[in-house]
Amino acid sequence: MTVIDNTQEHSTRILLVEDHASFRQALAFMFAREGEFAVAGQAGSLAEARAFLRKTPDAFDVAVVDLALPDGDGFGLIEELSSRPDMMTLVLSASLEPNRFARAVEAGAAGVLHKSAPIDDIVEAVRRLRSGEALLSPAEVVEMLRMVSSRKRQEEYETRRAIEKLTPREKQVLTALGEGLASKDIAEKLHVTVETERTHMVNILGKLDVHSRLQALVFAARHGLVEIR
Amino acid sequence: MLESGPFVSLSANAGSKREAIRGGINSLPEPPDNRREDLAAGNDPARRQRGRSRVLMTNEPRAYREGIAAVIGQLRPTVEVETVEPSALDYSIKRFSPDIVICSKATEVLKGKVRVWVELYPENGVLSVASIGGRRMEYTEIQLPDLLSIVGKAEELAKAN
Repeated sequence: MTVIDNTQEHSTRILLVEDHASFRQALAFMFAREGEFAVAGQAGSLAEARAFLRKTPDAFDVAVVDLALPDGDGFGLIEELSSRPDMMTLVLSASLEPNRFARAVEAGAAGVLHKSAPIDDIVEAVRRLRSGEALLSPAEVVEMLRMVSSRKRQEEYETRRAIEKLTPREKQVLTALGEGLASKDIAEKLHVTVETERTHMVNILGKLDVHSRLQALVFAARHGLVEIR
Repeated sequence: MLESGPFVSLSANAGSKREAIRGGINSLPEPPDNRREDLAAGNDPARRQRGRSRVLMTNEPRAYREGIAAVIGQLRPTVEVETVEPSALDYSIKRFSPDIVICSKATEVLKGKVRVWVELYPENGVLSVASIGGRRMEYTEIQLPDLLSIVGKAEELAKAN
């Protein structure tokens, strides 16, 4: 984490969150050579960004955030930043998936740019945000939110389909898992062999598209298949 | 309050010592205020002079290519910087005769014709690789000062020739 105290009065104070250091530093250089900006901090990860925010919560006006960071995607950070008054977030991404941009807007990003944009566009985008311009037209925002809504509906549909595929026996296995029982105990409770219990579990993992008993339990709890007491 | 940037560890396959390099924006000279220069230094005819080392940049994505090119162009006025799309790499090597290439993926033409090159964040990863006169260096977190240093080494090699 780099904290730089070269802020000038009335400068737009920028926080850069980007793990590719050479690009982050080049971006800082581009902003610094424009007199209206001051790079107030640089972070290479979510953890560094959050540490910076804790240390100097009022130190910046605009955050330029990469979506793909080594310790997670930036959506949670974008939500946190968006909850702060007078703070704006510009998201940069190398991803071509429109859903990721849509999610960034949903999380509260004021603008999104792909990294294939000219570098001057990034600087100009921050300038426009600070002057109160919207980077996204209302139609673009509506389209992105529609994409998010559509994605959620698709996920809900796939979840319902996955649950419908479970047999009554498999649901019993999940219920027993929710009671905290291990494989051997589940087999005993359901009067089956351990091998049979494991076969049921393999089938459950496949149908729910998860990779572990824990993930299956989380899925089941999240969607009301089991009740955790 | 100034704090130093993250350490970078780099290792050389030649077996030389590990170096930890303190990078970060603090180690760069301050840029001039409110000056905007052409990203491609070659747009200024005065710069296309014999004897100047040539930097060819074809790395993706574009924002990286242009941003780093702008810094090199400003902080290394003794070099000529050209930026092209990755698909033009091999052709541009033949046309531009660069002394150093910064790319996303090194081609056989590049490896055969250019003494200094950097594969910067191949596959959008974090690891970068440099080849300086045949000596391979790996960077787990390459910094802008590292790139400037490599450009400097390319200039030295070019002068030595």
